[in-house]
Amino acid sequence: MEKVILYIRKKISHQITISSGVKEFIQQFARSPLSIIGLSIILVIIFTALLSYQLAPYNPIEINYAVRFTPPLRKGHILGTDHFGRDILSRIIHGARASLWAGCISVGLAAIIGTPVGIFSGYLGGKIDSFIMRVMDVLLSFPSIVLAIGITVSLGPSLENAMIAIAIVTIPDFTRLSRGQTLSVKENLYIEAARAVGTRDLKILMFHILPNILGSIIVQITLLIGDAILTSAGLSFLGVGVQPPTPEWGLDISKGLPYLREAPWIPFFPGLFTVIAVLGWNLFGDGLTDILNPRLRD
Amino acid sequence: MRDLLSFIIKRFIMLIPILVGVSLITFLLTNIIPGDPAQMLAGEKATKEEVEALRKKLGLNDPIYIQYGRYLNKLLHLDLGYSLFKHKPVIEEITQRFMATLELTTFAMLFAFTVGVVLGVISATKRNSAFDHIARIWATLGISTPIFWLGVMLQLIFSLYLGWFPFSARMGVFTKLNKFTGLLILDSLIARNIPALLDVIKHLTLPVITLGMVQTTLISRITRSSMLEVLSQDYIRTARSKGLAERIVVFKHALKNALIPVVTVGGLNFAKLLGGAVLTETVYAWPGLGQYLWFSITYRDFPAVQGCVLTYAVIFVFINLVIDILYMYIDPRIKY
Amino acid sequence: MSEKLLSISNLKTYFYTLKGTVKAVDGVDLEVGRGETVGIVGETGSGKSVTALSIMRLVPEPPGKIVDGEILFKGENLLEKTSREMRDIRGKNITMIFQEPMTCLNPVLSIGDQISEVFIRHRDMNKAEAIRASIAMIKNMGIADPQLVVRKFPHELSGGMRQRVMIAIALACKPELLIADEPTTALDVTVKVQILELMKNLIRDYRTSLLFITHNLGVIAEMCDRVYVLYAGHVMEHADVISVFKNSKHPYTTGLLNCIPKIGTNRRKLEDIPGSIPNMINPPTGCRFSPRCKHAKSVCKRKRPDIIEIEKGHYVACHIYG
Repeated sequence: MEKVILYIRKKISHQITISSGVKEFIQQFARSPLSIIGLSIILVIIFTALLSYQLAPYNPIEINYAVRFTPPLRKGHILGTDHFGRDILSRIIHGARASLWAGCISVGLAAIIGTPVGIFSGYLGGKIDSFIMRVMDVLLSFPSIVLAIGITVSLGPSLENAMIAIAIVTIPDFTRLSRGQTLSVKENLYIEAARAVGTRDLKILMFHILPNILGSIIVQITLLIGDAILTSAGLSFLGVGVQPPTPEWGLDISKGLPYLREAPWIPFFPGLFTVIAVLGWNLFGDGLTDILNPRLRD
Repeated sequence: MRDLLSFIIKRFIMLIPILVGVSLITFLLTNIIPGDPAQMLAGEKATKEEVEALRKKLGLNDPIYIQYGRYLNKLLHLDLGYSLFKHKPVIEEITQRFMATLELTTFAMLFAFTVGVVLGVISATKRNSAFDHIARIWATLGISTPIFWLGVMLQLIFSLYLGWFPFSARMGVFTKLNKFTGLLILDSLIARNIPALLDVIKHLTLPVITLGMVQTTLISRITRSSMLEVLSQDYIRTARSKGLAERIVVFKHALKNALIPVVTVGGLNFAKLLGGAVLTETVYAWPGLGQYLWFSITYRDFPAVQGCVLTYAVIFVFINLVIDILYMYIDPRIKY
Repeated sequence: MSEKLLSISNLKTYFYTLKGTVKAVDGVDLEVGRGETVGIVGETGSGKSVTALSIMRLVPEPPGKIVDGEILFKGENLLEKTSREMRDIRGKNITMIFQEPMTCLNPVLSIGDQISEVFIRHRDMNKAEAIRASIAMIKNMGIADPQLVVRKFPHELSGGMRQRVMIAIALACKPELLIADEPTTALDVTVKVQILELMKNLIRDYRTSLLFITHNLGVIAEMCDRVYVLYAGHVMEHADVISVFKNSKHPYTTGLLNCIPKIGTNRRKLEDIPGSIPNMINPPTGCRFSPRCKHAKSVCKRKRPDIIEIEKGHYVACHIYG
């Protein structure tokens, strides 16, 4: 009996030594140049989004017909202006807010809802597990954008509803992931030991299962934020996401299409910055994957 | 042969709960979400009386499960509602546009598979070479690019500036072609209409590249890692110990094994391909389901939106079935 | 006295890893005559598998590399051959079977396909002829219903049958030398015996020389004419099998023999050799066995002992003897 308690104590103190693991983690992270680039991009974007009002040279929604269709690299408008004479750089800077918001909130929501559902499903097993997995299968039978479109149209086109739609579409990813991880952790001896001592199920979930799968969840979050940003841009491009005149990268691309021949910079720059933003998240996520899941490394 | 048939039937039966679930979700999209379905279906210009009449007619005051039952019944009769914008049944529009989307997605998948596998194999056999590094960077770039922007940029460069390819649509205005199947490549081959064939190919090129690009990067990534894993297996060492040429070792022994997870991933990503088709068709004015979905959204044609969403899901469910069957031929270890 | 079929001199195969250079085989001399069965015995890490892979030139490069030595096969140095020439030799003149029959056969190719390959490659047969020849080989292996088996896939066969298929592949082109790397280690006891019997009969019929690698002394006694004792990349002792078993000279060999429990003696405890195999990145200087050797003297730690012929045909590398 004492041996069992000792064993459990050891496992809990193992979690505490994670803090020393953090230092090692940072060291390993610093060795991967691409991850650092990714992280830098993310930080720049966050910075831009938070301080958009201070950084943007012009008001992004103010119309000024006098300077419409100014090409890039002209005085005062380094990225040019659009068909309403609005400064593109300012719209890009403010557009970062929408993208960041869409990416982080929707994926965050999906993680908060999907992860506990997956853990419960995996831990409890049986009929509840089958049912939940079936529900996820049904959700996954829809191409994500298509389902997101359906939800947004029903709720009414707006940024908030687009975020909800993307969150719903992303939930199955987290449910599957946390369920799979829970299943493999469940087999571990120290869970049995904890049970044998009479620890309540909830406590087991919180102290033993969750810390172990947290790593994969975090990696998954970073990898999915890039996707979410792309989906949100797609929804806005189609007209069901952010509504004009709010600046948003996908929206600006679609609005620039009629002027593609005369003023290609209008759709070009929003897309370019979308690529950079998503690239940042993907590089960062790849770097994290390499560190936290070394066996997947080549 | 009987095994195959019973397998297909078994799988088909397993599909039914999923299809029911899918129909439930599309039903919920218009009926449980806040907002007045009658208002939505009547359109924005309807008067209060018209909306109330419509509500009665649609039985919207009945309990929800009865409404769902009615909806399910309609689906089984292939009634997807009436398109407000186009003034004809939704199902009619969908069947007309289906082939266009099928042609586009099929060629995009073929493109992605061929290019992706080749790049993946080269990357794996020349691991850590310059080629490999460039391919990996390009792959990461690929999944970071919005499809619609890629499409627009390709249009800009290759159509507007260079004039090598047409800007949009499936065929030039002046090209004459008798349509039998709706798959224009097939139709032009059947009619031996070479000018039309060339025209169709030219129109297909940019959309196929746009839609297939993301898939190409995904496939090349999974091919590469799968090949690396396979090449480190014992049976590859056995193959080499027989004195076989490296070419045979890589393509006969390794690739066949490596393709199994590639097909899995390719199958799962087909949904992404269908979703991407919506954006691609919008950019290239391609007369397929995706463009219909976009029109329906723009003109607030709710029955059409609902119908399209349902159609996409059903297509994907059946594609999955096809892939499951394909597995039987690829992996001899799978037993039924 | 016929010319030796295989003659290895001073073979050195190293592996360059991030943690350092592993000197897996560090100066090994070995000979196999025509029609002879030679055993290589040693613990895991002794370098016996690497030696075998070096002969076939199947050492993965990177991280491995054959840095020195000569491997003469029928008088020609294999290390000087081009890849093309080696590919002609592999599967035809020198063949190899490995330890794990489970993973050594390609799961998506049929048995017939995998055996036919060698016939098509080395005997210039077409597909139909090759399949017929494969069926004949399967029959030779003592497998029933060869026509059925030829169409099956590896996962449908048992471990013993799979190993028989491996042997069929290896002997299909009647090679002069067959290298067997722990072929029975992963098999059940009853199957082990059958496979060894099969191998003995076949190499006698085909007049193949056999280089048999194992850590199991019992199997050595069963199969081999001569045996080399390998430790940490060096040869410690080699002689004919009877001399090694009855009259072992090297302390390591003696230690290995003492590990085998014998029924009928009065020993209470199982003996073992204290310590463990050395770190192959920084192996001990001098005799590599010296850290674990009861009889170690100061010279043992400084100088690597040369191999001397202590009795006729019996060679040992130990400072006890000179």
